[in-house]
Amino acid sequence: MDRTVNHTLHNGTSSTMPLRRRTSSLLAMACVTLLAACSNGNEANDARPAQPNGPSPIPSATTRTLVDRGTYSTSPTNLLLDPGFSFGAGEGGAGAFLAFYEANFASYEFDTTIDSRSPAGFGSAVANIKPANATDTSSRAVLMLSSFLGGEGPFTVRIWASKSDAAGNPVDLVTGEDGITVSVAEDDPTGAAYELQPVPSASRVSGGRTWTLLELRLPKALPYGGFFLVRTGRGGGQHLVAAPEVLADPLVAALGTRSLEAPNATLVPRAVTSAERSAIVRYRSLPPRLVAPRAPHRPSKLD
Amino acid sequence: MSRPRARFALTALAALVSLGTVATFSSPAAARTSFDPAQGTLLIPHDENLLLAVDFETPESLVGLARGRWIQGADDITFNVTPITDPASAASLLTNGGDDAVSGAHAARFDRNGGGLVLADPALFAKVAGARFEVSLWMRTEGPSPELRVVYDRSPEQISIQPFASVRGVRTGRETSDGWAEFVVGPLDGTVWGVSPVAVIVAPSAFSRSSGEFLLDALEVRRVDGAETPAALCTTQNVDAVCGGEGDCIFGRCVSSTVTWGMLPSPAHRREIAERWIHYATRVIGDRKAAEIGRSFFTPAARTLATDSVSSRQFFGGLNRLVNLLRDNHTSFGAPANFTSFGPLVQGGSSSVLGACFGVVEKDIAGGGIGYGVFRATEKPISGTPLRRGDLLVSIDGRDPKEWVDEVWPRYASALPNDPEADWGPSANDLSRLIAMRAARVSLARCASASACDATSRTIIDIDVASAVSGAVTGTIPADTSPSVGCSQRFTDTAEVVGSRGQEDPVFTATGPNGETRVQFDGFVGGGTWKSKMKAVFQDSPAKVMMDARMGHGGYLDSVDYLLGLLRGKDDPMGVVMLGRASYATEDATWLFGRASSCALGVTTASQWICWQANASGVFANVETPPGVNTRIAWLNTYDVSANDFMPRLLQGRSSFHVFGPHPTSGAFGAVGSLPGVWTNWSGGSIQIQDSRFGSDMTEASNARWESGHGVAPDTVVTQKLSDAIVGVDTIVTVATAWLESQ
Repeated sequence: MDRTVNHTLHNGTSSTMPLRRRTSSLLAMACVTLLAACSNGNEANDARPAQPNGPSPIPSATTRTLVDRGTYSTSPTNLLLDPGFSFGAGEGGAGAFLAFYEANFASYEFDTTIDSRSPAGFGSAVANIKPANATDTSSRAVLMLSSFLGGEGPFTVRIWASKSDAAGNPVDLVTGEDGITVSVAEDDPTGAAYELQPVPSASRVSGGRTWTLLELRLPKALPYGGFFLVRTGRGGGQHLVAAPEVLADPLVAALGTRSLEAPNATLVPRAVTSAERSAIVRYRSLPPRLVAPRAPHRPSKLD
Repeated sequence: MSRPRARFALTALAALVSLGTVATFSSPAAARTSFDPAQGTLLIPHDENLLLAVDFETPESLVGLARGRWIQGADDITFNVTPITDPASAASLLTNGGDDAVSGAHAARFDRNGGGLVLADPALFAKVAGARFEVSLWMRTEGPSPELRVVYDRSPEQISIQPFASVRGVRTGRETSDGWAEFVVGPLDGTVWGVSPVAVIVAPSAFSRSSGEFLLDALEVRRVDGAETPAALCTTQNVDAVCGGEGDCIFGRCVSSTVTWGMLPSPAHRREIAERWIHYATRVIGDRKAAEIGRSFFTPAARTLATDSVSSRQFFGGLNRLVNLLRDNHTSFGAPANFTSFGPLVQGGSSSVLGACFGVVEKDIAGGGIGYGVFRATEKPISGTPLRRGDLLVSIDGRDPKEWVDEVWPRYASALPNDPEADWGPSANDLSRLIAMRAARVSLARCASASACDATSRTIIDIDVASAVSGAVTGTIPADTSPSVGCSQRFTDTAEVVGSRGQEDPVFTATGPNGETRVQFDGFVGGGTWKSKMKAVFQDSPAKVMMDARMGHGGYLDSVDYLLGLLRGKDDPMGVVMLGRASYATEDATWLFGRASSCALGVTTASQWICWQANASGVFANVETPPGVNTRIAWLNTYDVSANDFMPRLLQGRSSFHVFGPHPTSGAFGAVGSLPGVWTNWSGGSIQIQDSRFGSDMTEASNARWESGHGVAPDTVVTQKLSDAIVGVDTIVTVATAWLESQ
């Protein structure tokens, strides 16, 4: 069942968004209530709701439960190649997350950290987008992006986000122009972008920090692929993002461990912004590497 | 730098918690902590297998342990240890309960300055000699990525980042909703080839830059059923029978797979790892031939490994082999961060224990055919048996050397050539190291002369590799042993090699005996210096040039394009269209080539989105009159991949261009991308994200085959002759020189 509600975020601001909630499965609700406590077989991501379009309330950390977590923080079929932000800025290339200051497209190198209390757990790193000289109320806008292979879909796109003040203390997440915007852009500069929306019922509190799940159901094909874009605005502070995920339903279904329902979402496309276009141009301008791989090696006494 | 104390009093046993198991969580290992859902805390079962438990409830519980951190010294990274002898000094480490403890009311907290915790009790480790044990604990982190590791070494006095053996702990999957996770290392052997553990270390990686804190709680050391892996003589072929499913065979003897490939993941984690690689191998990879192998062979085999493996050797070693058998030289599984001698993969060709580097030879005086001969040798190798240039490898563990290589190399190589016919050169380069790691005995033939090497005129040299290498691994290497040398598939250099390699591939030049210019270079990692040297070679339109690329490791398309512009003009058209996959579901679609092929001619404002989305690029000869267009070029190949595939392929068909070598190049025609580490403590692998079509124009290219998997065959197949090797003559250079002079 889809409906539109007036959603009040933690900071008291309001936004109107489509909210998708499925109420037919008590079992699913119970599993989601325990977050990852219900083992989902081959599925890796205990951080995300057990069903792509049916997140349900998740308890705060005050009720500690034992959970059975996968080794990765996102699905093995995640179309994003580096959901753990493990490639450094110098790596670049296919699948890497790169970031730029929106004003001049100067390269921005985000920090990563392991916070096991985050939705990513020990499975992958959290990216911390802290623009230089950011204050609690002012910051330079940053665009962070990666590309992914397309196909028939439909797709489910997710990421967890949280916010800190300039000193690193948790504060309420703000979405929109001054806060964080996460989008999927089509392959074409004249094509559309689709913004992920907060799923308030899936918020997670741990270590005094609230993590908000942003999600998009995209019931359409992306035949030529797409871009996953994270924009942090000029409203100050720093943003943490974790466990980004682009899933194609057929690939998830092939794992045979997750129930899927036909998408019934209301899509609100928008035009790709000029800043997003420019970031994508720079993202893909990296030269191809044609070097055979060599693993890190420390010579031993037998070398 | 302070040095660790050798011994610590073990008093932590006195601090065992009072236990009462409320609920038992199903775990594949022996009963570790159980979780009390009512209290939200862990309980440590107190049974006869529990050797040590630290609950961190009181400062006294830490006495007998130590604090420590990794320190970068001049020559090594070592772990600096400070024993905890006074409860007062440990009090500040304890947390104040609540969420900051998962067992009882307190845990231990370490920040970047605090380093980590060390358990270094010989009395404890003596209890598990001849038996097996495991170490488990629970951790939560707010920044650093702490590692649990058990270190084996002969001397407990100094813990090195490169000890005798080391096994790192992994997450089991048992975690709490607020960020605590169980880590375990084990079952481990009580000793490894007689060497005992010297420390259990829980600390951030020596290479960690992250600040913040991590917490640990519920540390247990438990005896586990089973006996140590006996150090029995073994081979790769009989490892399962001799060493058992959980054992590995390295340096000719059995050892626990934990010290080579690391910990075996849980079944659920194995399924995830296998599925992620199935995703890479079927929905991400750009190499069309490899993708088909991914669907038909890799997918079912990887799922079987996830289900059936009983050791990390079987699982990770098996996956490494499967990835290699995709046959894409750009696609690699990655490697465990094992910096001991027990690292399982062959990385970097060196003369190693045999003190010899092998090359591909034609056995012209030894019955014919292709084989492995010694190209370089040191005077005093670890094996104690000096070899000579021209010695011929005749058997490895009683088998034909190439048969042995075909079976063993895919298991331990970082990547294999796309074209199996190209295996000879790369495998020859790896061979000495591979033999040292994975063979027990080798035999070589030493010919009586450069003209006599039949059965009656050769000396057979048998070398007990296993004894030599295990002695070196477990003991010391004599001081007068010759230093190891790096291996090369150049029998001789064609230009003087001076200086060390910088950011770019060096380009060395010389003048040959007939006045030809000789250029020795390894690849196309080329910036301004590389380009200026190449330009200098051709700008005056030399008549004859020998391009010695026999160790061609690839580089950048930009450099390939640059050299193409020096050597082939637009009136002799040739180019390549490089394309990514059409989608996750299929490599090709009817729209792909038509939509994106023009990107090979240059990216315009109008086409840039299409080019980038299709991962499309390429080059076409577009220079009116290149300075080297009429230069007669002899191109020497042997161990060549990637950009070193592209360049000779783009020059093929050009007049006065001739490739010399023993076999095709690798056939890796596409750009490579990095992959994240597949598991805890693993370095990432890589994957080819494109494939390529060649042609003189777009129409021809559109009808061409996908090129990956098809190495560039030499125009003249020439291999270093054994007879020439014995007298120091470089056959390939000789033949190429003659060709340059022939017209």
